[in-house]
Amino acid sequence: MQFSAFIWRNLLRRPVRSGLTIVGLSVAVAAVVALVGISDGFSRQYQELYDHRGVDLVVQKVGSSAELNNSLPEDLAESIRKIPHVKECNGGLMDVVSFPERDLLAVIINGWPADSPLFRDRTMLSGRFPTADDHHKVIIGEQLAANLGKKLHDTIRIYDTDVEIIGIFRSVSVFENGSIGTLISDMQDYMNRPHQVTGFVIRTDIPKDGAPEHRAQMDEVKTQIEALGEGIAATASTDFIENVGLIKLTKAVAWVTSAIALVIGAIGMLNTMVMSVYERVREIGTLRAMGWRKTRVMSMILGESVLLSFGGAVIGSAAALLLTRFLSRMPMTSELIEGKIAPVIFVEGFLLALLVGFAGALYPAFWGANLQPIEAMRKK
Amino acid sequence: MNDSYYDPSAPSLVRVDRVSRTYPDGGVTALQDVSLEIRRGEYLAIMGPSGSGKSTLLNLLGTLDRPTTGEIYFEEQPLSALRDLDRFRSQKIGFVFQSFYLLPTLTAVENVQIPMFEGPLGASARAKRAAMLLESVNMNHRAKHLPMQLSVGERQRVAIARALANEPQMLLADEPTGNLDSRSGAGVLDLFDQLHRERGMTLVVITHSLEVAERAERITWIRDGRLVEQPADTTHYREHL
Amino acid sequence: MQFISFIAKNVLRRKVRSALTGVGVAVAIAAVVALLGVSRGFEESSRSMLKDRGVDIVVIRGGLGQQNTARIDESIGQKIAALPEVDKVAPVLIDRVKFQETTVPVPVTGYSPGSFAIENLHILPENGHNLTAGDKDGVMLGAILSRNLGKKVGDKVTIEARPFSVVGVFQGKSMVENGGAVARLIDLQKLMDRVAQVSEFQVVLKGEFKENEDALKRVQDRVKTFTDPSGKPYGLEAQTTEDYVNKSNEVRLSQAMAWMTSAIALIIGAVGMLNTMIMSVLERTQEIGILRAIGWRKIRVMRMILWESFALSLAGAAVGTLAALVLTRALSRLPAANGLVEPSVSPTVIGIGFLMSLLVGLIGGAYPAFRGASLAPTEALRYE
Repeated sequence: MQFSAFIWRNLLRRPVRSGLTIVGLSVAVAAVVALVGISDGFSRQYQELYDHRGVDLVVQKVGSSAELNNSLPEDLAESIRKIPHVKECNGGLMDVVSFPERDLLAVIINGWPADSPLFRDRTMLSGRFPTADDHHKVIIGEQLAANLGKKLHDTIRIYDTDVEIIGIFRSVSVFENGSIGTLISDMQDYMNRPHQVTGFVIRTDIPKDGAPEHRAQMDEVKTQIEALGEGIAATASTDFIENVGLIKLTKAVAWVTSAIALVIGAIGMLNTMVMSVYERVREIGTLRAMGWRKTRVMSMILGESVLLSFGGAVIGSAAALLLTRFLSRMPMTSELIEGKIAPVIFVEGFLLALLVGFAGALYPAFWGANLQPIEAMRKK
Repeated sequence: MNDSYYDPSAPSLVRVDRVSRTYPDGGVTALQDVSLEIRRGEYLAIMGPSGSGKSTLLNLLGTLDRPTTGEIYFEEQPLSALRDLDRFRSQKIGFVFQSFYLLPTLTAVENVQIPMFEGPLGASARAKRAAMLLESVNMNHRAKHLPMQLSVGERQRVAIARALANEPQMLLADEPTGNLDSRSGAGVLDLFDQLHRERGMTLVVITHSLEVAERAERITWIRDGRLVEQPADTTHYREHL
Repeated sequence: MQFISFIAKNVLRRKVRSALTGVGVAVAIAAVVALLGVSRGFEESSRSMLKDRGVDIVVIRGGLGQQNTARIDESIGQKIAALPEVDKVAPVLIDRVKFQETTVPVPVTGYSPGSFAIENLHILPENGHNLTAGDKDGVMLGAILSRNLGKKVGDKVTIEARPFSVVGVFQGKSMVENGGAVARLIDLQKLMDRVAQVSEFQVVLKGEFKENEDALKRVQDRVKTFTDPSGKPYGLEAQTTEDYVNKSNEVRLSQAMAWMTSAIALIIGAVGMLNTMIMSVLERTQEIGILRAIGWRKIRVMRMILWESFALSLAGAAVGTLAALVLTRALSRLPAANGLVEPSVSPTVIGIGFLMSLLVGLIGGAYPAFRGASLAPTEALRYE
């Protein structure tokens, strides 16, 4: 009989207890993996979007944390384009609208000039892109179209105005598939922000290979942009994304909830292992009398907890995956959640589960190993 | 008395030198100034009424406990100098208890393998050896049974096989027949004889029954924590009149 | 011996086991009470900010995902004031600003000096005065914010790269408000590039129309019809204070998070409890057999086990609630919390916590109770 078989047997001997411990742990793991996976998904999606566009820098007004509140004058683009190495500078006005009757609370709406390349990143499934004359017309992502139950040439109501859907598109990012695109002049109107933009996205011709001279060139571009006026900030797209309020918030929520779940999970494991050792005092005494060293007894108990953690991690990860898949199909969340979880998150989940299991079993293992054989055997 | 295979010129295996064991919490003195020598290959019985300290003495001999004062020598090595008592115990000593103490969820052959984990054998070698040991105690036909499914006599035999797992130098038995009926008890004692005769095993048996003690080569008496002379009247130590 | 004391004895007999189970439940309940308590406190705090002023209605831009980007013409305030049901109207501009000392963004509100909204702030004695029309670039700090930033009357505070001087420190009933700052509407409008614009109007109805459903409806309908000179509707919505608070993203988010995490904590706690109780029953099979053999009916055995389960979970709830109260109080003092966390937990939440613990006790005890009671006495007695 293998040592590992012995450990396995110990667990199978108490199927209900082992099962329940695994269930408890898997709930904790599922919570962690799902939450962290989703929040990670947000920032990945954003990143994908910007990478797809080759965005190097994001230019915004600095200061207030509610970034949608800030504005820059739209003609700043002229000055930015004059800076060496700047290949493209595209401004837009962004807002968030809701359709409460359809339970859609956070729909992104982007306004760009008709000739903006930012429109062309999408694939038009039906209809067309807006031209300069297409006022009060919108293009919407296919997910949004599905959620609203609208087709080409239907109207939707935004900012108390009826607008016609002249195109339905598909984008690489789930965010965009749930968004609306329209002319910036209309947005400036609706939002009461004449001639203003939320920010600019900049594309340079500087290769992104990390070479020191290229990094210096990028820094130079940044400095020159920021010198154009007070309170202007040019941020690399990765840094920008990490600082987006929504991203920060979801990350914070994910980690706080995960921490709580893990603590409770660890206590559950501790509970189980202490009881399990407590009940086997006589047996442990016998093992020690039969020559088992303390380290072996500890390995046995720790080994049991590792197996339980592993079980919890497997089930929890599967549950988390199913949950995010499910959420990606529910209308309310389908525009935010992709239904995929990055592999590294699963790895994190497993490691955390093992850590929790280990932590919860350390004291009981130590206690069990240090029992005096005779007294232990005498116990009831 | 048995045919004596006891050779007085044989080297001493265990030497107990003025050992006392007191328990501070109860102020109880379980053993007082006990000195004893056990030769290699000897079959010794330690007799006394309950509470006389014989179990304590057994535990000390088996390194399950340490004396408060005095020293115990094993092959002339003082036990107090040993850093790894566990390793020592697993290699040199086998135990048989009155209550068997088999692990209830393991089969007979698995139970026998338990002490072997500390040894050099791999899993399949362990299994083979365990089967062989069970064979030697006539329990091979019940190898796959759980303790619950065995009679008390069978359980004790499995326990004996387990005690032999690591080829110990000495077998310590604490009231080995205490929970057995007279037939199984006799069977166990026969087994001890066999071990003593065929393998030259050193046996120390603790008992309060004269029938059991008389199977050994030598009887040492203990009373109130001290070794004493054989009492004049031993009739009440007999179980069968 | 009373049944109750018998239960108590049973629980106390297995001290270690009972203690561990109790701890498991305590942690779960502590999490629930703390989370729900904080979220509720935040909600109450936000609500009292408006209610204390007597605000009945808040006029906002409809159909937006978040109110932060709303821009409404300040002149609309007059239209609202002209409505027969309306007593007072205050134009309000709200923004959130990051300070280094506080990790969360701080609300900065722009009120017009002299409006009912600003008059309601209680300036602490010896701590300056309320903003007047003449206090250009003046700011009032809530007591909590003042403490966290380490600024008093006369000091300068930088908001969006512009220095403001502290003219007063206020403290009201709402902790959320006490963690914020107040400046002149005009100054904030200039700072945020929102000249002549506001994010909302706070409206007080005339005495006889307060709480009047019809009056409310009338106002709501009228506000919806407001159009600009060219005839385009402004797209405004008049929400009751209650709705405004309940629908706010922050309140919603904190509620969602609190419930979600509480649910997770409870599930894990209940599973743990079930685990323990099952093991406990299994261990006492023989004992249960004896009880049945001497004449205890199944029901009595079930009740015994269930009551033990309840006793444990209630004890856990008591300890957990205490821990949650201590924790909440500690959190509320952190500068990072800045008024978002109230130091006390509402009795309702504590009640919810105890109810949850009963639920956990039930889940943990029902199946084992049933199993334990169903054992045939002879079987149980035979069990080694």
